[in-house]
Amino acid sequence: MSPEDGRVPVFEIQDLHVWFDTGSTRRHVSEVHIVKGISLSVAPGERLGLVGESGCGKTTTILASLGLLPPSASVSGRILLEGKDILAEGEKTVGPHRWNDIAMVFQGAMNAFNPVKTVGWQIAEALRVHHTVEPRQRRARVAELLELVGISGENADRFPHEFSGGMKQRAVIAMALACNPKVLLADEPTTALDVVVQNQILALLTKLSEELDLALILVTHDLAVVAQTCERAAVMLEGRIVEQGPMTELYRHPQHSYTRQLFESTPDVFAAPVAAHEIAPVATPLLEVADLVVSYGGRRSWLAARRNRPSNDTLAVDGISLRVQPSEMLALVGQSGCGKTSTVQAILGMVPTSGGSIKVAGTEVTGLRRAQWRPLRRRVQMIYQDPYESLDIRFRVRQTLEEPLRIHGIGKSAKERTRIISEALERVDMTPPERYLGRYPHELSGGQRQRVAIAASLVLDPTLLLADEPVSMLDVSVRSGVLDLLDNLRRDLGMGILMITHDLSTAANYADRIAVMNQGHIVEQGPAWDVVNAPTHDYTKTLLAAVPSPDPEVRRVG
Amino acid sequence: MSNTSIDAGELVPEVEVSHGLWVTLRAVLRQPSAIVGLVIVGLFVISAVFAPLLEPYSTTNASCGVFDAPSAAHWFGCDDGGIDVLSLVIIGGRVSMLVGLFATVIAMVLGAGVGLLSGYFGGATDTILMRITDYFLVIPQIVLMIVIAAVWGPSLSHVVIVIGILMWTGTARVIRAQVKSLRERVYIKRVESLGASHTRIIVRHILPQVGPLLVANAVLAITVAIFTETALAFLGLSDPTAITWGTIMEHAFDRAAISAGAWWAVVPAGMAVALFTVGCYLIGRSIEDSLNPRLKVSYLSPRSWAMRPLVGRGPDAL
Repeated sequence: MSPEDGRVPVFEIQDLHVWFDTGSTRRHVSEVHIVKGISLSVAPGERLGLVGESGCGKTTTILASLGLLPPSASVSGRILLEGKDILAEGEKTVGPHRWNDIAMVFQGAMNAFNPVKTVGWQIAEALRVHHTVEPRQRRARVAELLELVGISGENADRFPHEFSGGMKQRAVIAMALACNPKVLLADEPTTALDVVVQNQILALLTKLSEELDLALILVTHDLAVVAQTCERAAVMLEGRIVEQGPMTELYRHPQHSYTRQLFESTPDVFAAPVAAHEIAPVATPLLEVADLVVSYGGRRSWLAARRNRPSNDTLAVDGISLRVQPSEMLALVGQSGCGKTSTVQAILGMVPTSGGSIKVAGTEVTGLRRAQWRPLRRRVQMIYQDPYESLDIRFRVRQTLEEPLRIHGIGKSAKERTRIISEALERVDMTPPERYLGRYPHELSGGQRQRVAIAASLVLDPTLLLADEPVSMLDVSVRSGVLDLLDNLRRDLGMGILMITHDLSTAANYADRIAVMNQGHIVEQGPAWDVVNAPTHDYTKTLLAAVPSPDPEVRRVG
Repeated sequence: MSNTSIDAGELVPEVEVSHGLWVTLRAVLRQPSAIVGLVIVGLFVISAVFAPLLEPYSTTNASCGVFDAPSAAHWFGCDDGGIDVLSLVIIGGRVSMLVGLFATVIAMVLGAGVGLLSGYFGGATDTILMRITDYFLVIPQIVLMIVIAAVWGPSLSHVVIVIGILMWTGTARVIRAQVKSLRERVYIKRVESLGASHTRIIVRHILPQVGPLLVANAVLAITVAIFTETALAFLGLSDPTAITWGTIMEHAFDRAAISAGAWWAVVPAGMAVALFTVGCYLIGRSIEDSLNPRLKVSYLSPRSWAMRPLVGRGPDAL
C-alpha cells in the first residue's frame, strides 16, 4: 500500500471504519456504516486522488483523519502521521496535529469567508490560534502566505467581496498552509469554479505540493481533475476502495467495472465524434433568436421608466442570435455569469427582454402577456439544473406528471392521463412506470429525479427543450444516461434542444453545434467538431486549454 | 442509482424544513412540551364543551353567601352575588375561548391573504399591502376599542372584530417572508414555466408549504386574542352581560372583592387565562421548533465522536 517508488509515507490511513448513529435507542441500535475499511498512504510531495460519487464516504474519510466528525459518529482504525497513530486516544491525540501537521481545504470554504473582516485577518486567525509565529511577524507571514498562493501581499487588507472566486479559493489554500502542514487534504477544491480558474487552482496545488514537499489528498468526483493533478488515485464505492494505483494504470487498464464505468462517463473533449449528422435548415426553425438584449439590475423608478430615460443597467445578454432546427442539439457554452442562463430565461418569457426578437416556431414571443404565452408553453419546455430543487417534494411522481396535463386540459379521463403519464415514464426509461408512479421525490435518486422532471416536460409533447446544465448536479455515472436520453429524444421525436453548459467536453460529445458565449456576446458558433478542433476565437482557445482530460498523458495543467 | 434512502455523504442529515402537516404533527408530538400543552388545552376545551354538565352550581342563582371563602362544597369560594366561582370560570371559558377562536380565524384569514399576495406578487402590490400592514400595526387596540364601544356600544362581536383586525399584521409579515423565499424556488419556477396560473401555484404549491407555519401562528394568536379579550373585558369594554374570564374579574373588582379580602373572586379566572395561555404557547412553540429542526443540530456540543475497537483483522493484518 505504500507509494509506488518506495518513498516513506508521511500520512497513512489504516483500516478506517466510520459509523453514524441514526437515532439509536437503549433497546435497539440504528446506525449506518459509512466508511468500511479504508487504507491509504501518501508520501511527502505526492498527490493522491480520492475519487467517488456523492455518498460514497470520501469526505467522511478525510474528516475522520482530522478528528472533525460530529458526536453521532464512531470511528475505528488507525491514522498514522509519520508512523505515529494519532487516532489512538481520540480528540486528545488528533487535536494537536490538526492544522499544525494536517490541514484541510474544505468544500465550498471560499464562500464561507466572514464578509466584515479582511482576508488577511482571517488568514492570520489560524496563526493566532496556533501561536505559530510571534504576533509582530504575523503580518509578514500573511503576506508571505498570499504570495505563496499567487496573490500579491498587499491584498491582505482587502475584504472577501473584493476577491474573485479564484482568489478566494487561493486564500483558502493560504489559510490551510498557515502552520506549515505536512499533509493537505483538499475536498472538492475546484467544484464550484469555472474551468479556467479550476485549471489555475489545480496548477497551484501541484506546484505547492512539489515546492513544499506537501503530501496532498485530493478528494473529488471528477476523474479528469485527478488525472491532471495526481500520480495515484483511489476509487471509492460505497465506503470501500475498489481500486487503487497509478493514474496511468487506472486509465489504461481499469480492473474494476466501476472504474471503467467512471471513465466511460467522463466525456473527453478531444475524443468527440467527427461531425454529427447534418441538419438541413428549414423555413421556420423551432427557435430563432435575433439580436437579443437582456438587461438587469436597473433600479429604475417607474417614473424614470415611463419617461423612457435610459438606464445604466448592466447588459446580461448583449445582442445574441441563435437558431435551433428540429432534431438539432445546440449547446450554449460559457463560464458562469456569461449570460447563458439569462438567455434561456428570456426565451421562456421569465425575464423581460430589452431588445431583439425571439421567435418560437415562427411566433414572436417578446412582449407576450401571460395569457398569450400559455398555449405556447406546451411547445417549449424547460429542464432545470438541480433535480433536487425542481420537483415539489410533496408531490408523488404521478401528481408531478399529471400537473402539466391538468394545466393545459389534456386528457379527458383519468385513464387517458394515466396512459400519457406511463408513456412519458417509459420514454425516460423508468420502467415499469407503475413502480414509480406512487413515489415521492425523496424516494428517487438524483438521476431518476432528473428523468421525472424530463418526463413532466414530455407529457406536453413539446417541440423545443431548453436544458439548463441538465447534468451538472448529477453523479458522473448517471450523467451519460441522462444525456443519452436527451440525445434519443431529439433523434426519435425530432425535438430541438438548446442545452446550456459550462462543460465543453459534454457539449462536444453530444451537441451538433456549439455557441460559445462570453460576457453577453456569442464569440463563436459552429459545428461542434469544428469549434473544438479548430477554434477561431481566442476565448474559445482559452476555454479549451483549460478543459481537463481524463487521460493523464494529455497533461495540460500548469 | 436505485437507492438513496440513506445519503451517506451528508454529515448532518439534511432535514427538509416543513413539508406537509402530517410530518410536522409527528415531529411536534415527539416534544414533551407539546404534550403538556396539548393536555392543558385539551382539558380546557373539554370543560368548555361540557360546561353545562360539569358546572357544580348554577351561574344565575345564588348558591351560597356573599364572598364565601373556598370550602369543600365551593372549591373556589363565591362572589358578591353568592354565585359559585368555579362554575363561573368553567362557563366563562366558553365565551373567552370562542372569542379567541373567532378573532384568530379573522386574523389568520387576513394575515395569510395579505402575506401570500404580498410575498407572491411583490413589487407595487407588496409595497401597498405592507404599508397598510404598517398602518394597522401602530393602531393602539385599547383606544380603538374605546372608540368602537362608544360609537357602536360594547358587544362581544365588536371585541372579536377589533382583536381580529388588529392581530393579523404579524402573521402577514411572517407569511410574506416565507412566500418570498418560496417564490424563488426552482420548482415554483418550473410549474410557472409549465403555464400554471397564479391561483394554481398559490393554492397547490405555496399554501401547503406555509400551512404548518400558519398553524403555529394561529395557536400563538389564540393566546394573544384571549389575553386581549380579558384585558378589554376587564376595562368594561366588552359585553357586560356575557360571562367571560375577563368580565368575571371586572365584576369582582367593581364589587370591591379585593378590599373585602375575597381574592378568590379574582384569582381563579386569572389563573385560567394564564394556564390556557401557557398551554397554547407550549403547543405553538413546539410547532415552530419542529419547523426549524436546524436549531437542534449542534456541532459545538461538548461530546465528541467516539473510538471503537478495531474491526476484523485489525491493522496488523495489513
